[in-house]
Amino acid sequence: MKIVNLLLLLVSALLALVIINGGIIYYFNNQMTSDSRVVNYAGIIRGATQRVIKLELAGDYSQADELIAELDQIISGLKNGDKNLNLPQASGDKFIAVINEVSDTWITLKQTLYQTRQDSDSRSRLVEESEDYFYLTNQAVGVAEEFSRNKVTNLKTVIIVSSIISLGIISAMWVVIRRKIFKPLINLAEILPKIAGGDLSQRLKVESNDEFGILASLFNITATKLQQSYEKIKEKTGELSVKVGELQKFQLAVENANEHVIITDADGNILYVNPAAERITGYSRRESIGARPSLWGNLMTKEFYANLWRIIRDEKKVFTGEITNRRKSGELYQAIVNISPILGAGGEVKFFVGLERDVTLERNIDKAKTEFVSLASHQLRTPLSAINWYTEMLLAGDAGKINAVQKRYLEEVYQGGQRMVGLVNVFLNVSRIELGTFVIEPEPVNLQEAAQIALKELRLIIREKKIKVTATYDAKLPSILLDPKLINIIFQNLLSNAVKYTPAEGAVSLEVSQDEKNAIIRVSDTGCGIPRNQQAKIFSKLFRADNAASQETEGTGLGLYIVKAIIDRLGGSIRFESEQDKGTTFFVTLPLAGMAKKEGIKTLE
Amino acid sequence: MTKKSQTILIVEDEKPLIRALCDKFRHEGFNVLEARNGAEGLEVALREHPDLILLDIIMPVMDGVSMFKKLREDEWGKSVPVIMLTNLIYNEKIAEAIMQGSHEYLVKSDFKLEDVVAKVRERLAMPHN
Repeated sequence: MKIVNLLLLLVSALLALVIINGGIIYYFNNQMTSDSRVVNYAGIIRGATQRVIKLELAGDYSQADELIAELDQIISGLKNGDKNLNLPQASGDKFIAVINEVSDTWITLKQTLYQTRQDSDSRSRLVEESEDYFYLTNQAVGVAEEFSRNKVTNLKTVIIVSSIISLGIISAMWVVIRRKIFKPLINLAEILPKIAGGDLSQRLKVESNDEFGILASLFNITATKLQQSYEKIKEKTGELSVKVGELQKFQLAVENANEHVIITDADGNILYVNPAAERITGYSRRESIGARPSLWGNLMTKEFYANLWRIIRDEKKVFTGEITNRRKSGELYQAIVNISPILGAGGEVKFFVGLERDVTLERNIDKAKTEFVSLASHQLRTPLSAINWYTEMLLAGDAGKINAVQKRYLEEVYQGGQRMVGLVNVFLNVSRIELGTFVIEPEPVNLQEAAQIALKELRLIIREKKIKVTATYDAKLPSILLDPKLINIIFQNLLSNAVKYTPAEGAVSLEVSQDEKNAIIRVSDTGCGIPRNQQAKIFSKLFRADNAASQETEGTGLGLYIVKAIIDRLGGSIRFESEQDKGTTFFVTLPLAGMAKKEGIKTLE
Repeated sequence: MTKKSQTILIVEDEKPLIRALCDKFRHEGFNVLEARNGAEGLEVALREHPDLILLDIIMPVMDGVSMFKKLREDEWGKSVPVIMLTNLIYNEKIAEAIMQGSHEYLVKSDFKLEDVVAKVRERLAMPHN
C-alpha cells in the first residue's frame, strides 16, 4: 500500500478515534449533566412540594400557586422533557414508571391541595398523600440516581473498551508506522552514510512495494550505477596509467636515442628536439624550438628541398635521403635523413617527425677507403706501364730475336699485364664514381658508331667463340649530347658480358632504337643467364652470380655497377630479363635530350 | 725530309718509364735526350732544340703544364711539337690549356710503346704550325 494512502488511513483512523472517543466523552458528559439535573430536579420536587404544603397550610396561596406552577413544569419536564429546564424526556422503564407515578400522584396531590383550600378537612388526606408523594419523589430521585449510576457504569465500560480499542488501534498504527516508515528510514540512515563514506557495495533492503520500496530500489540502482561508473573509471585510469607508462617508455627511448629526432608542426616549425639532435646540430633545445630545420640545413639545391616537401606534404609519404647540413659550429656533416608525415583523423598532415643519422664518419671512412683505392690504383700504373712496355719491346724483338717458346711466355706476361691495366682502370672508375669526382664532357654522340667501336674491340673473342652477332640500328636516331667515353663503357661492358657468358656458337643481338623521349639499347644473348635468386644483386658492387663466377674466372663484379652508375648519372634507366641457361636481355634507355656538362676532376677510363 | 736522325726530348720523372721510352726510341733510331723534371726539361729544350718533346705532367720541381707554358713563351719554343704523356687529366682547366697548345696527350698506361712511336712519327711528319 502506498505510504500516502497509509498516512491518510492513519490520519483518518486517528481522527476517527478522536472523534469517537470525543463523541463518547461528550455523550458521557451530556448524560452526566442531564442525569444530574434530573436528579437535581427530582430532589427539588420533594423540597418544593414540602414548601408548597407549608405555604398551603400557612394560607399563602399565591406563592403556593407560583411554586405549584413551577412544580408542574418540573414534573412535566421530567416526564416529557423541557427545553427551558434542559430536561430530557424520561428514559428507562423504571424511571418512567416512577415519574409517571409521581406525576399522577402530583395531580392527585394538587387536587387535594385545591380541595384543602376550600375544605380544611382534606388536610389529613393531604398529609397522607404527601407522604406517599414524598416517598415517590424519593424513589424518583433514587431511581434517577440508580439509573444514572448504571449509565455511568455502562459508559465507563464503553469508555474502557473504547480506550482499549483505541490503544489497540494506535499500537497497530504504531507498529505499521514503525515497519513501513521508520524501518526504511532507519535503513536509509544506516546505509547512506556508508555509501557516502565510499562503500559503494552497500544496498538498501527493498521490502515493500510502496514509496519507500521504490525509493530504495531507485537508490539501489543509483548505487549500482555509481559503482559501475566507479569501476569503469578505475579501469580507465588503470589503462591510462599503462598508456602513460608506455608513452614514458617511448619518451625515454626518444630522449635517449642516439639518432637525432625532431618533431615539427605541419608548416615545419620545430616543436621538439631530442638531446641527440642538440648534440648533432649543435643547437640547443631553446634555440631550436620555434625555429625551422633550415637553421642547420639549407645547403642542398632548391630542387632537393622542393622534392622533399613534395613527397612529405603533397604525397604525404616518407622521405628518405642523404643530406649535407651545417652544425652551429659551422662544421658540415653528412646525414641520412628520414622524414615522416603524421596524419590526423581527417587525413591532413598534423606533424612531421624527422630522424637524422650522422653518417659523416661513415662517409669519411668510405671516402678514405675510396681515396686509398684511387691512390693505390694510380700508383700501380707506372710499374704496369714499365712491365707492359718492356714486354712489348721484347716481343717486338728490340732486344734480339726470340724463339717461339720465349714468344709464348712473353705473350702470357703481356696478357697478365694487360689484364692488370684493365683492373686498375676499373678500380679507378669505381672510386671516381663513388667520390663523385669524374667529369662528363658531352658532345654529340652517334650511338651506332659508339656501338660499333665497342663491337670491334670484341672482334677477336667473337670470332674465337664463333658467336653470331646481329646488330640493328634505327637509321633515324639523332646524335645525342653524351660523353663518348661513358657511352663506350656502357656498350663495352654490356657487349663483353654478353659475349663472355654465352657459350661457343651462341648468339648475341644488339638493337639501338628510340621512342619519343628516349634512345633504347637492347643487348641480348643466349648465355648462361642470371639465376632468379641472385637477380636483385646484379648491379651491386663486386657481385658476381655463382654461375658466372664458376664459368669465367675473369670478372670483377664491378662492370654492371659502373654501368648503372653512369646510366643513373646520365638520367637514363637500365633493367634486364634473364632466365638461367636460356639467356639474358638488358634494356637501357637514355634521354634524347642528352646530358649536361659535369665539372669534375677526372674522367672515367 | 732529311735522313738525319731526329732528336726527341723525353721529360719524365719516373725512372722505369723514362728508361723504357729511351730504350724504345733509341732502338727506333732516334736521338734521345732525357730530363727528370720540368725545370731540367725546359733548360735542355731551350739549349738543344729537339725536334719533338714527350712531356709528362706530374713531376717534381716544375710540372709539365708550367714547363709547357714557359716553353711556349720562347721564340723557338712556341712552335715545337709537344706530346703530353700522363696517366690522367687532373682537371678540366689544365686539360683545356693543354689542348690549346699541345698537340696530343696520351694516357701512358693505355698505350703501347709502338703507338707512342707511331704518334711521334706522325707528328714529326706533319708540317710545323
